[in-house]
Amino acid sequence: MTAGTSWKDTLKGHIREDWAREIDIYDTQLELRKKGKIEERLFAETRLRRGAYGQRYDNGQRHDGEKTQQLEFPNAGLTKGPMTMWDAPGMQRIKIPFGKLSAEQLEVLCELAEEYSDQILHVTTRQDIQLHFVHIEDTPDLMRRLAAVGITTREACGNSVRNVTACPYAGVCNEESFDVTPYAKAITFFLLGHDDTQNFGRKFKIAFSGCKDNPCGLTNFHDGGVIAKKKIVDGKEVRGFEFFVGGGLGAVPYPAALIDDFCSEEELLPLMQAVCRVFGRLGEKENRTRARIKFLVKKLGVDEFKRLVLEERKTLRPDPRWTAFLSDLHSTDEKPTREGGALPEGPRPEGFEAWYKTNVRPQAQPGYFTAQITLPLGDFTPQQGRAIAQVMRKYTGDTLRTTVSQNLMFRWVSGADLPALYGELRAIGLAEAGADTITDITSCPGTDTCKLGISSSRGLAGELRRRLSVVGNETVAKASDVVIKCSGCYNSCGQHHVADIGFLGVSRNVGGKRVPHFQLVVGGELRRNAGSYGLAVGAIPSKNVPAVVERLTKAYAEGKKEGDTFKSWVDRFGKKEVKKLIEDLSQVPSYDVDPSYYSDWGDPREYTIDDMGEGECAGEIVPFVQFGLAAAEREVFEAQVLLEEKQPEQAAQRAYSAMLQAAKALAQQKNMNLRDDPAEIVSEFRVHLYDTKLFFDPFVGGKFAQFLFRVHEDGIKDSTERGAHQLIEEAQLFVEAAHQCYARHGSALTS
Amino acid sequence: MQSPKIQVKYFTQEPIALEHFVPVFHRWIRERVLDELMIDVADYGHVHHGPGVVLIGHASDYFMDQAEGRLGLLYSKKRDPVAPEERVLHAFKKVLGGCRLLEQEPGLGVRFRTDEVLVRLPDRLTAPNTDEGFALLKGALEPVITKLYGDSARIEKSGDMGAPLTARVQAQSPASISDLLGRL
Repeated sequence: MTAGTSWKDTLKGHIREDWAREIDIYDTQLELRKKGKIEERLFAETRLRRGAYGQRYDNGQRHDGEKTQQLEFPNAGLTKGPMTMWDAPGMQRIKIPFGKLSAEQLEVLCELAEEYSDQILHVTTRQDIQLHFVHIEDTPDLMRRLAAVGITTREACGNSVRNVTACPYAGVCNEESFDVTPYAKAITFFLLGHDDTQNFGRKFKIAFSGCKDNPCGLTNFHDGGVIAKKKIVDGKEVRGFEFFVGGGLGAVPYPAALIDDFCSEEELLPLMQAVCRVFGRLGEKENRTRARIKFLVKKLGVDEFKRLVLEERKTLRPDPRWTAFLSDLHSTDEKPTREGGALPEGPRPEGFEAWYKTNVRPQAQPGYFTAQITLPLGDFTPQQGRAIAQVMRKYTGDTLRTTVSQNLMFRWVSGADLPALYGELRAIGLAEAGADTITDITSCPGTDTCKLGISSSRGLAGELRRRLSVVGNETVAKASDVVIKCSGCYNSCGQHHVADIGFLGVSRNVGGKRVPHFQLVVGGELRRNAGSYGLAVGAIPSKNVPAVVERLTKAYAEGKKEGDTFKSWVDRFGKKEVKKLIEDLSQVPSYDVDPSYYSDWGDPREYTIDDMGEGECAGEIVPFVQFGLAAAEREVFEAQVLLEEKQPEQAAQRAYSAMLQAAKALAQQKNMNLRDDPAEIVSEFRVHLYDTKLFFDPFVGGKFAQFLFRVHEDGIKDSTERGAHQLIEEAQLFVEAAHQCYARHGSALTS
Repeated sequence: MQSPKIQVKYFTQEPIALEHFVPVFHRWIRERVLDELMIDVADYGHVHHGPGVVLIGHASDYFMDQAEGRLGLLYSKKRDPVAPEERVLHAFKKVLGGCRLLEQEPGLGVRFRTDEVLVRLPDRLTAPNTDEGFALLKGALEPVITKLYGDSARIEKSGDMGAPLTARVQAQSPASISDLLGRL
């Protein structure tokens, strides 16, 4: 490669022609936007479809702990989207299909982190790599350098098919039906930029799993999830997939629904194409908060959705790409560098045994092992990345996978090389044991960089990790199988719903000041591809969360029986007891007594949610509002207990009642004579809180109010466990929104 | 020097816990201590030999950097025009200014050693990590290094091939931060 005066010149001929053209067009659009010749919304969608995101403070404001300050960016009048300053640093998401990286690709990613970002590469919960604090004008060259090594950022964001994820053990797992890698690759590039994926109202996420029971693929919460399956047809073994649609986490989690229990490998791509067409045609476009495919599947019903998909399938024009890849399913096979072998006997490096126990797994291929690198909070440095690339070349078949638990995984390591590989990882500080155990905590970016973050999920995860990693802690050792996940808000990027112990960031108003909290979520299950979702037990001040974890893990360690998981223990122990166990920790001391509660983990500034956008109220105390809101919270919890006690009808009724309580608490500020009549409460709430938009969430508008209106107008239509579970989720969000409404508007509600 | 991007690092005399720098950098933003737009603080204290605590700005960043396991203040110029012949001088003034501010922070107790400096050009297009690239960098560094340390300082190529072009300056006659600033 000859150096030129620009990356465009230098990389000419090294980038796929169509990709080079796409990036040139993007580069031009960027210039046009600078000249004001492209409308800001259009440019925003353009950059988002190339993975260039906004970041916290990009509206040009930042609360410094005392007041909101203006960030005076140079091009003050220029924006890269609504309320998004041109010069504000942003995040670049880089799709890594099924998490597979070569050493060369990893090295380029390291270069980009050094030259355009803040010296950190971050692995996400969907196997992407993210770089933060990137300037928009650096993104075209960044994309060119990635494209030159076969990575595209196209459709890493926006209303498109996002990174296709897959189990990182695919192809080497002892329990998989078969290797899903070639199928994941085929669907990635088939749908990338496909005409039938350009008209979505929201994003569409696909995941592949090689088996049904393990947690590696997490297909249950994906828009499209497929699980490998084999069966005998006419005496011959054939491959296919269980095909699910309409799963999702977000504010209200939905389990995916099965639409085909054996989709043949020939039908995989056309069936997914038909799903995309139906979603593109019938999915919600106006109301973004109900635009994911899960809402469409729910609205139509699974049977009708399936009928429409099969009808659509018949109309598709045959495409040779549907099956072309099947003629060479081994094209994605990996070739090991070294001969397989057994783990050598004799003395081993310090710490090796613990690392081997948690981070190493034998492959299906004798003599070979996978080895995970436990990344703290999903982060690593370019220096570490370059060293990893060398290790890949030396010991493996030049491949690495990112994992959904924000780690990296080597494959094809000979058993004979494990001690040496461990030694090389130790030299770069990446030989920590505990992969996928209680210390390996997943977290979204939260308030560190995300515009929607309410609490510091990374700060909390870091603190929990620090405390739980203390060597010799017997409780932690006994509870090492517990999975902890943290999200900074209800959007669930940290996947808290499927953790044993999950946390989602919320805030509370205490004595006129804002206090960071986390809702504790228990009862989720990561196994069985994220088989069940947990429910919130109560809000805990951020600074008390470590104590909550300590109590829960201690109770679990003491109470677990042979074969127990945390979920089975919680089911037996009961949410009521969980609540009782931590009740005292929900209290917040006054600011005078302990001001530390009024700032978040890792951030010394006095806590605020002003950086989310909307102005904070003066914090005036209106005690009976708080009383009403507390009652509503209690009712949500009671609904959960009723559900646990197998009384779904009553649970649903209680969830509805909780929403009424919260609505009344707010509406009463406008009408002191409000009675306990549901119709009157809803009517007054609509007039004073909804029509005035006072209740509107800054990001999702009136979505949460619709939960109340729907159940009030339509009644409780689904009294099954699943229906009640969903209504409880909605009640939780409604009550939370009521808290936020009160926190935002405070005394204004009474005027 | 073609590259607008330059990083300069001075090492601390003693290690100091990174967490102490977090409130300092937040206060620098709040009180607008620096004469440029600073935006946020990123804490990577959990990363082994990582970028430590970063004061993120628009045109430049300040890292309490832990690379190679050695704590130091790394100034990183990212954007906005500085005349090519002024780039090295500008970066040294900035990093030394940052060191002085940190040394003056009450209760922090940080002191910088001045007999060793790391200079890096994180720009592989205009500053490739080659012998020719190093010769150009050395040529650009010499006038400023001579001003700071006289003729006895050694400028050597540093870092592995994959890393950005890096020079390590070893000075025979260390001076205080204020003295060094005075010489610029």
